[in-house]
Amino acid sequence: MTASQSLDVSGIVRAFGPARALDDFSLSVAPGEFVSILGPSGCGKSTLLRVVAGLEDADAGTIRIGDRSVRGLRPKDRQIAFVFQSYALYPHMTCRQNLAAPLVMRELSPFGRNRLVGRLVPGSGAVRRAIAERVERTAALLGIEALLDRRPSQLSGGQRQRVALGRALIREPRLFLLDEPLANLDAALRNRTRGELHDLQRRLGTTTLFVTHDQAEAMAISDRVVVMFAGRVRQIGTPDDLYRNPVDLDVARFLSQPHLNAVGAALIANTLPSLRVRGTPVARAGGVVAFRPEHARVMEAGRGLPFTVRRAEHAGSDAHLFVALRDGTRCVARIPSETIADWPRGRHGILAFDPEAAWIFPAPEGDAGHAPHLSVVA
Amino acid sequence: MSRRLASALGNLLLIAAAVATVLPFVYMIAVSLAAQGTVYEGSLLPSPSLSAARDNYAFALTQVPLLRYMLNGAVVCGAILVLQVLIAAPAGYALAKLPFFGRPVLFAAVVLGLMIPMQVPAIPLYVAIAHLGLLNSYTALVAPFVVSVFGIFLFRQFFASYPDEVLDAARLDGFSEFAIVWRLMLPAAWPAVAAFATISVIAHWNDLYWPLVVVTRADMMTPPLGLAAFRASGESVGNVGALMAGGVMVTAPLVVGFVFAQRHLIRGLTLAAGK
Repeated sequence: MTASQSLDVSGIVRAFGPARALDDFSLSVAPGEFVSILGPSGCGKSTLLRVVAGLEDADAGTIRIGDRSVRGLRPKDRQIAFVFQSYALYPHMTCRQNLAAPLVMRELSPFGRNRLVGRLVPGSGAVRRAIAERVERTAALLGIEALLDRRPSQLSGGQRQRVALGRALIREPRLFLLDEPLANLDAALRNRTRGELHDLQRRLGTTTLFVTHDQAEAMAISDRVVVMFAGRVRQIGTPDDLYRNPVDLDVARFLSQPHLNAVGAALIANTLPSLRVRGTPVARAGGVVAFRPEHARVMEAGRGLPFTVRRAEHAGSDAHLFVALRDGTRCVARIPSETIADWPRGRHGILAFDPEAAWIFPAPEGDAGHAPHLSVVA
Repeated sequence: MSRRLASALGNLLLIAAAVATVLPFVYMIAVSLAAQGTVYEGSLLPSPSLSAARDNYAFALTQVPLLRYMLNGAVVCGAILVLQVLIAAPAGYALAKLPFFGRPVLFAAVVLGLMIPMQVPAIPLYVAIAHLGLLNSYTALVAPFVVSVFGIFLFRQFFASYPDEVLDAARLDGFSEFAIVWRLMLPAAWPAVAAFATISVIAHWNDLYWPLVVVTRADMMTPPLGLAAFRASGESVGNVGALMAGGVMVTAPLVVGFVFAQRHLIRGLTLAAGK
């Protein structure tokens, strides 16, 4: 295997008309690192991969793989493997031919590739045998030996995904670019494949950029996660880092799916004037106080925010209780599911949260922090 | 009841049209099998006779170089088809998948080209070929047709629906743009290729107009021109049977080919139309 390579992306701009899909995007990835690019759809994460691969040109900025700039290098000369969301297998070729394609196109001359005259080209027999051997080895690595003579249309989604992965890693690239490769799999298969992908990357040690809009996926398998909004890096960190210390409300919301509670600091200061959130007195803070459902608890009486129950959702061992505060702000608390019967619709109670697991953020533009989180709309 | 009546009427109409189309062919075959004298005796279809049939076909094959005409036809049609695909497939790919300056204008020009009949550029083409001293050559018969706007249009429509991500994957895997055309697009578009091949071969095998313009020597004649020359030469005067035997032999390869290609032809055209 080729030695792992670092990837340095700096100051990339890619504009489509007036819209900037990538706006001064910079990122450094260490050799062998697995980095996820996490962001909502349309934030430019796929464009980033396409620019790194050379499928699109950046308007500004530099990309270095290892110590070399890839400026002016065509996609095939960058030694990058790309796995597409749709897998992009060659539909009229068998899986064996799909796996062999990158090697055939690189290592055989145009005449050597030809089925009729190929035998006459000196040396192509040995190359062909070597390619066949590598196809077998890669197929064995992914457990797809039995599928080699089928066409993509005869495979399930999970099998196609494996073949696409095989085609990517067969030529031992310097860099893996994965564009939502798990998005088209069903939930159970996605979780399993996610783990296998992680193991595989660890074993091969190939530097990997993994694009996803699924925060659970990114958190589960990444060394570091890049949170991206509107073409810009908002925060880079380890999964744990991002989970505990989001830089702003957007990041906190994105990493707290499905729910994040955001309550106006003023409302909290009204009921709990002496409360400190990580040392900062709420009474003197503006903006919103954000906390996760797992750090909230509900009581029949006590010190906290009065609420009215809107509804409850059962989620196995836990349940989510959707409530409305006095000013209409909607919040969610995680409660043990066996207590779900205690909280019928319309019941009043008190909401409390752990101030050491909460954050104070500036109110998002255009609202004073009273607007409920979108995904909490009950 | 009225729906049944309508469908019966429709079928009747179709049957009438089919009969009207097939009848000349049936008559051609019947005459080619009948003796000289019986053709004008007044019965709708002259009665066949084995010895007359043998005479007619032997006469057509020996009095004019019919096999030579058919060989010319095969060479010309084959060369036209191969060159047309060699040019139309990359052109259709570029128009469908490669963004470049002026592409919409170029595509509009292709569509416009579909509406220009062969007769319009015929005179300048003739003059050019005559000046080059290429009259009575395969080049004269083939060259004007190697760029097929219909082929470009058909391939463009077919290629347009090919998934872009597969093309990106191919570029990363080391395919050149031409390798993409020959190794990915064309194999995926084989119904279109089959449909185009059928249409092209039929059109050029049957073409009388252009060979009439550029060919006068018997050894360069294509089948329809050869038959026309046969009819005009006086060899066939009174020998309708031999003329029809020539017609049967010239038509047969196309009919046989069409019977085999029919399913692909229809699939290719409906797929292209559906997109």
